Amino acid sequence: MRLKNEIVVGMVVVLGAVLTVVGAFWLSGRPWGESQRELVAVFVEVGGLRSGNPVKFRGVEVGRITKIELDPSVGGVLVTMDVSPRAELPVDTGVLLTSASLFGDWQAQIVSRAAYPDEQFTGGNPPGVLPGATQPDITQLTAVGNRIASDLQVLAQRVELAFTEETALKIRETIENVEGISQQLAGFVDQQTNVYHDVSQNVLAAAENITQTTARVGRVATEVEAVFVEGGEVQRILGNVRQASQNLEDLSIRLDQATAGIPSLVSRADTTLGDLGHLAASTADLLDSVEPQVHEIGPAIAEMRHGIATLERTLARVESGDGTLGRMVGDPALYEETQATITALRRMLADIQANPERYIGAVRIF
Amino acid sequence: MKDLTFGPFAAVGKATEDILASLGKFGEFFIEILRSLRDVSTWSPLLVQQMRRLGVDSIPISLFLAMFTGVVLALQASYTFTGQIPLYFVGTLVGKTMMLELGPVLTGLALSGRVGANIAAQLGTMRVSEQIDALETLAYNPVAYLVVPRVLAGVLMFPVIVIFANALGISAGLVTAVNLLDMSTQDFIRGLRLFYAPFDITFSLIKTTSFGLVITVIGSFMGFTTRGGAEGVGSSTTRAVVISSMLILVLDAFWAVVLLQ
Repeated sequence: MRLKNEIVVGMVVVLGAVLTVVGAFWLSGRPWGESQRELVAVFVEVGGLRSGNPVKFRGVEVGRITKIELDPSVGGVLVTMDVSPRAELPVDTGVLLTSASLFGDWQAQIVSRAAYPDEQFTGGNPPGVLPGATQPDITQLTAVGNRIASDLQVLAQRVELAFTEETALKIRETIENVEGISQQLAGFVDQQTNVYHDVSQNVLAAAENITQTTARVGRVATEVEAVFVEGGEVQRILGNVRQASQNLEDLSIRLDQATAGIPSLVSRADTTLGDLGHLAASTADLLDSVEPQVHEIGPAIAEMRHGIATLERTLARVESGDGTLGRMVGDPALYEETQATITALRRMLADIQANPERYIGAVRIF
Repeated sequence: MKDLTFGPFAAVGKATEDILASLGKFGEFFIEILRSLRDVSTWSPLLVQQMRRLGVDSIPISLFLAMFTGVVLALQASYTFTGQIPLYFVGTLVGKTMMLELGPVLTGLALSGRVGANIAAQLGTMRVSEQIDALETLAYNPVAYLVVPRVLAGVLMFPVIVIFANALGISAGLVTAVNLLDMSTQDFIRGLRLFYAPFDITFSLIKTTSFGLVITVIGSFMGFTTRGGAEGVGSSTTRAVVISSMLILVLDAFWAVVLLQ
């Protein structure tokens, strides 16, 4: 059954119309059955943007550019776009136009202006109009590159003009000279390297000598320290001398007391004085024997102590009135002589204490 | 001597006179078509029939052309890009080329052969067999009866044909890209939508409408002005196809200059 012309033609026309509408809608990329929100942004210029270009929010396509028109009232280009209401715009919304690829397709991005501090968004816009900014496209970048290439070409031409055959010859000679100098420098460096090697060997030997000398100095210092410790022994010897002087002073006091109580013994003073003279001579000999060597003071003091002990025993016998001396202590003449002798001894002992070196002699460590 | 001196000028003058006369006749014919539009009762009963014959019956050949055009476009695009350009631009090239150029132009050229030649042959035969004269004798407006339904059918149905041709050509390109070029459907559609503008379809329909008008008017004019029997019919048919094809290309450039700049 052949269909009537009207039916066939009607079906074809309706199908063609539907195909046109559906195809146009599908190619535009708009979602089916979703009401769109209209946004308007103003730009200084829009680059290669065209109606139908995509609008993206966080990288997701949410709409299309629907209209681009110049608007002298705002001094720029007004761009109208239909955007899905599902896109929740940030507080500081701006629209950034960028190249979508290197091949001239553009896109609009809904962004937060705070995320793009370097972009110059339009300001002072009417209410409801978003600020916009446009990034340079690849053609502008290539124009800059082209200018740089032109400059390089000019530079190359100038270098080519300056780089004549004569210049090349001179450069070659210069290079040869530099090569010769470098060879000489290499030889000089080798020579200096050998010298430095010898010097370093000498330095090593000197360092070894210094190390040995330091060890020796250390040993000497140890010995010196030991000597100073022995110097402490000297101090102890001097202390003993002082003690002996103190004992002599006590003896003088006791003699003074004895002479005060025993005038009858003066007659015997000659013998006692003789003993004292002998004692003083012994003391003088003792001090003379101290003078040549310090280390002999110890034994001398020991002898002195022995002498003092003997003297104490003698004095005890004197105090008891035994012997010649006991009898002599009562003699005033002997007392006066003894006083004078003791006074002289005091002066001598005081002088020994004040100036022991006069009697002991110089003490040498080395 | 006189003929040798002025012969070329005379030839140019004669040719100019013939061209101007033909343009004048064509102008009169076109004006008569516009006038005959008022005679609705004469042409309207024949309109649907002509839409079926000139439009619906021309769809297969148009789809055949469009399908292979889409296949070739996809393959040539991928061959041209050679890895330097992303393959999704195959979709861009196929869509843009089919909608803006090859869909309308190839369909127009195909229909100039099928429709234009058909109209010129039909009306030329009616002219040499004096059927048109008979209509005039019977007080029928032959333009309203024979030409207006064909012209309107061409103007109305050619855009529909091109819509189908565009859809099938792009679909064929998609199938080719997915199956032969290692592309995904999403990539092809991405490229297809990348540079799409609603005006693309409008531009395609404007061009196709003008092609339909030119093909049917030229075919009708050639048929109406046929002289000399069967030989004249053949000659008119040939001239209708040639002139229609030339005017299609001229109009193609014209619309590109007028609408795309």
